[in-house]
Amino acid sequence: MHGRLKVRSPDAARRRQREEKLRLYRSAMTTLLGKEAPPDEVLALTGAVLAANPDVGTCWNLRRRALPAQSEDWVQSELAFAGTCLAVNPKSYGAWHHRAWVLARAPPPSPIPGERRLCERLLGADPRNFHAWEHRRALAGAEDAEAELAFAAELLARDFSNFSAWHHRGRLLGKLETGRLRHELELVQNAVFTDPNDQSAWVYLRCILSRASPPPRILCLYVNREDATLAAVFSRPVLVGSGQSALSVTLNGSTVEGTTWRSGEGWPRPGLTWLWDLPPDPSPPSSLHIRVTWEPGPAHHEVTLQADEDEAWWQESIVLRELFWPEVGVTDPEVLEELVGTCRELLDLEPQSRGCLLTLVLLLSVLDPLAHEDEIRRCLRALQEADPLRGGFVADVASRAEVALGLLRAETQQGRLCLQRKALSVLALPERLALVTELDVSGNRLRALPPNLGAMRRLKVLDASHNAITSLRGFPPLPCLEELNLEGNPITLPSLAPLAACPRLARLRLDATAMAAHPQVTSSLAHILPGVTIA
Amino acid sequence: SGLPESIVAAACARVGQSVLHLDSRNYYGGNWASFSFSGLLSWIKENQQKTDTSDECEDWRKLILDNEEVISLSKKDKTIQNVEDFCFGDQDSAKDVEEAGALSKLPVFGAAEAEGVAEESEKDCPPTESADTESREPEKAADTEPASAAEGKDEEITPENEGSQSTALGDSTLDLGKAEDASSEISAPEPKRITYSQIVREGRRFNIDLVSKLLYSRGLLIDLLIKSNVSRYAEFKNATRILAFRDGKVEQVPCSRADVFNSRQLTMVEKRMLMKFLTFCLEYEQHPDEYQDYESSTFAQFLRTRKLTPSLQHFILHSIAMVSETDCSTLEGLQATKKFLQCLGRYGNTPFLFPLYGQGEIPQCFCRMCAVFGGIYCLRHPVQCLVVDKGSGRCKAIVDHFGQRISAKYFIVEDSYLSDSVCTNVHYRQISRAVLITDRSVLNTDSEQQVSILTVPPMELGKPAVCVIELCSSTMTCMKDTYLVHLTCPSTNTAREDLEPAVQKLFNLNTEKETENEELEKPKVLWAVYFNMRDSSGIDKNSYNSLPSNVYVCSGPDSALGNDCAVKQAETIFREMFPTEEFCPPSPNPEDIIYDEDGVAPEEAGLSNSPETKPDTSVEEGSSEGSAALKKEDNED
Repeated sequence: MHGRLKVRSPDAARRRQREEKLRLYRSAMTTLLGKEAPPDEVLALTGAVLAANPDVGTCWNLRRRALPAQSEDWVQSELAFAGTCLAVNPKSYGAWHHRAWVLARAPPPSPIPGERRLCERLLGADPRNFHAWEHRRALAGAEDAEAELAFAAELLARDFSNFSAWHHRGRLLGKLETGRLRHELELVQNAVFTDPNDQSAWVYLRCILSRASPPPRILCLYVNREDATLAAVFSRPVLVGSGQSALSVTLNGSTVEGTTWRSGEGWPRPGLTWLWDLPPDPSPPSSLHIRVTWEPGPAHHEVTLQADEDEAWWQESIVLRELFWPEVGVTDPEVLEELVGTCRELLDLEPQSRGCLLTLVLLLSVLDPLAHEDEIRRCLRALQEADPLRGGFVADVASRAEVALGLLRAETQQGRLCLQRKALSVLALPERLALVTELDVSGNRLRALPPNLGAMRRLKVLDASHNAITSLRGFPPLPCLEELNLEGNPITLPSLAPLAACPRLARLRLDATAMAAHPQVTSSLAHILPGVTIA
Repeated sequence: SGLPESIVAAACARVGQSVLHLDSRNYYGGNWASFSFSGLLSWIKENQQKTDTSDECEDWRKLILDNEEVISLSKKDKTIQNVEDFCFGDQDSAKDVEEAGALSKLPVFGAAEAEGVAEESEKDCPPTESADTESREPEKAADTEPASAAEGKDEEITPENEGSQSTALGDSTLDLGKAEDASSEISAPEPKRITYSQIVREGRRFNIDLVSKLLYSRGLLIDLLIKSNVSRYAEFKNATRILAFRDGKVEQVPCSRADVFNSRQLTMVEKRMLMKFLTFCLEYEQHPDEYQDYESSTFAQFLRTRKLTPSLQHFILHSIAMVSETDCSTLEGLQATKKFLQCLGRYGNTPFLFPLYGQGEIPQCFCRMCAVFGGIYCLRHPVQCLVVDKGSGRCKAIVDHFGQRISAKYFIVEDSYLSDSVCTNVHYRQISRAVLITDRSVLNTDSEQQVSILTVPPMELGKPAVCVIELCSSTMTCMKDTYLVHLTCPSTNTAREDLEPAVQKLFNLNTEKETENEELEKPKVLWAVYFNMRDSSGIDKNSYNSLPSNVYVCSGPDSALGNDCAVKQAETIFREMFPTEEFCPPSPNPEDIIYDEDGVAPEEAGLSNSPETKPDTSVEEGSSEGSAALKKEDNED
């Protein structure tokens, strides 16, 4: 009835198939890369190669060169071809790029519905195909936001561990009113209570909370007669003198033409502090009224230096909620309070959840760091333990919280600020330190003193002893710095060079550093930093 | 040709043995078979009559030599008992209706017998309504009027009045079919009233399983189907939801991560507690400190200590672990929960697969595999006896009902073929089964096409829970606008006594003028059958009297939800017979098979006993329907 069957070894068959595929590929590529082939032949050969392997970039390029020469309408057939290539490899960069290239040349009617269907199909097969998400966003983003939101929600319902889908949602939501925000927060809540270890929802939560990122603005103006400079300290690093935003000065009522600004950090890149050299001062000293406008922002700030004053400043006072995480501070505090409640509830069940710990720390720091000081510290400690792999990041968050607490407690933002032994890994919020004269950051874990300390135009005494500072590279030229304590840091001699740019530096303490033991150090230092007393 | 026998047959043929597979029935699958509606009616009738065909023709005795003795095989199948069927519609109207294109599996009771069956079973039908029907005004072609169907809550709609029945049936059937299609498009939201005659006419749309099982997506059967490549002969659909029955209400059980995320019924804290507990169950072995204090308590008691709300406890105990409240230990419960959870996510958001066209497909797939590798199949071929050599005590041959003597080295017999004398020491359990055809789902949601599994906890402690599987028409087991509901539990009484309480809780059995609104909410039962099936699983071979060592016994279906028992049994038997051979190695791809002689393509060589032509739903096209082809790779990124 049945013939006795023999079985061909599948391995042999597969090997033969692969060899055949390779042979075809080689012969096609030889022809294509040889002399210029006619467009029809190029299309046929690249078509055969790409259908088998859509990742040969050369072939796509050759195709794009050959296609415009075609007489008949090639858009539809080319879209179909790219579609078959995507079926072979749905994550082929070349095929997606080619598709977008073809679409840009598509005549009406709009190909968008078809493209949307394609994305739907591919995302149905793999909801995390970020190429398909990107394609969809590029062409259908603005069309029907509600339908797109529903589409993203549907895929999240299948599996919420999908950064692309959350991102798609986030990009579609315009400015969030409280109602919409609450809806999104409910989704996040569902996700984090289902699986608090999945980071996608936590990341989305932080994204939607910090959507309304405020534009950079001037926080402080400081004018010093002796140095003949005006310093403007910004809320975020900016690059003055480029692009559309401009910093203009009105001096005693008349606009100063062609103001040139230099960075307070020593080199021209985005920075917090920008300096303008005052025009030569007539003697006897007169009073100066300076008005600074930062465009495109409408606000201007003024500072008046009286004839008998050496320095004058204007500084924005700290708004509690906008200090730690300015983007979130503008959100309805009621919503934030609710979120805090949710996080605490979840933390009761999952004391180790790092997403939850971090979110709670951020929220509490935004709402009122002073009132929640203990809870913030407790959460940060738990976070350090729960997430040792991101210890550095957590330490930075903790440092920011400590600096914020220090600032809030210091009441004024000038005079002496003590941040001793706070386990600081970074000196955060330098933009708020512009008027501090004495800064004590001893006994922390700082590895460097960052260039954005250039904001500290009035700093006279800096105690950075007993940290882990190895180098002062990039240390800004601080005009008033008189005393610097680097005791107990593993710092090396050559890296002290930037200190030479601090004109008033008189005392430098280097006890218990790597250099202290070396006999030649004193002479070398005297060479680099003449006039500085080394202790 | 039940599942274990078919697997053994396929495994033997695969390693080059000659296999002859005889079945006294005229359909594949034995008690694992599935039937069209008319096929099932015939099966019911046969099992209700139980006529003993005693053709004591002893001619074959002369084939037995002096040094041989005989073990007679039973000619009568005693595995099915207490068959009771009920029709809740107007049967008279269906008197002359024939199944469209009927080809009965049982030739004795052909399509023409449908009427007889209907009449007979009418006696069992509690609310006889023939008088009612006669007094009622003839409703002409009610099916074409969706409005009247919608209004007529308390009336059965009869498509053809007895009087107007005489016209050419074929044509009118066709016309009615069209009208139905049209009306269903217009009045989509209203559930269609399906009548008994429609069920009879559309009988071929039904594939009604005698056993009701699902495949665990990481169970032994799935592994075997994949490993052996037998999976290419079958298509599957994911069970779409897990249901629970609590406080008289049917609810959906959130069991996967996606379910918990999407659930609106759970509070945030419940979501966390449920996920936390389920995550713990997945790796409970690594956390013995969490449960070892409760090892001597029941799983239900353990659950009470886990900060789970009562509804979560119910979900876990009855719908996820699916274990008994009273006598399942903590460890067994954890094991069951773990098994359930491990099966999640392989093919979908529930752990179960159901084969399209019914569970009866599975034995046939293995038969087909066996046939591809040279096995020979004979249905309607009873066997008289086994012939045993007195000297060696080994079985040498069989004698079939033609008096033909067939020699073989190994003999595999299904338990039901063994005569009473062999089985005197064997104690069988029973399975209670019910099959209902209903008009809507026990839980209506946005999608009509749901495959649901529901555990109904025992009404009184100590009784077994009832497993309910509800199939929709896209599983190819029932006609459009109906649901096929299987109920199963280990028997304590007759099937009807065991299962009717659960049926009454879930369904509306009234045919006329329903009394309470509550009843209206429930799906209506259009037709039902109860029967007990013998559970011959787990019987030690030594319990059978004097069976030769080369005779192997396969059991009938067990009462468990999965198929592990049959696969284990088949593998054990195969390993005893051929300790050195591999069990069901991957079969080669069709294109790799070369046929020496006549070049029969493997497709043609396969067997198919079902006369239906099955619509080809390939995976690519059917993906929206959720049918899944088995693949070795898990569905991962």
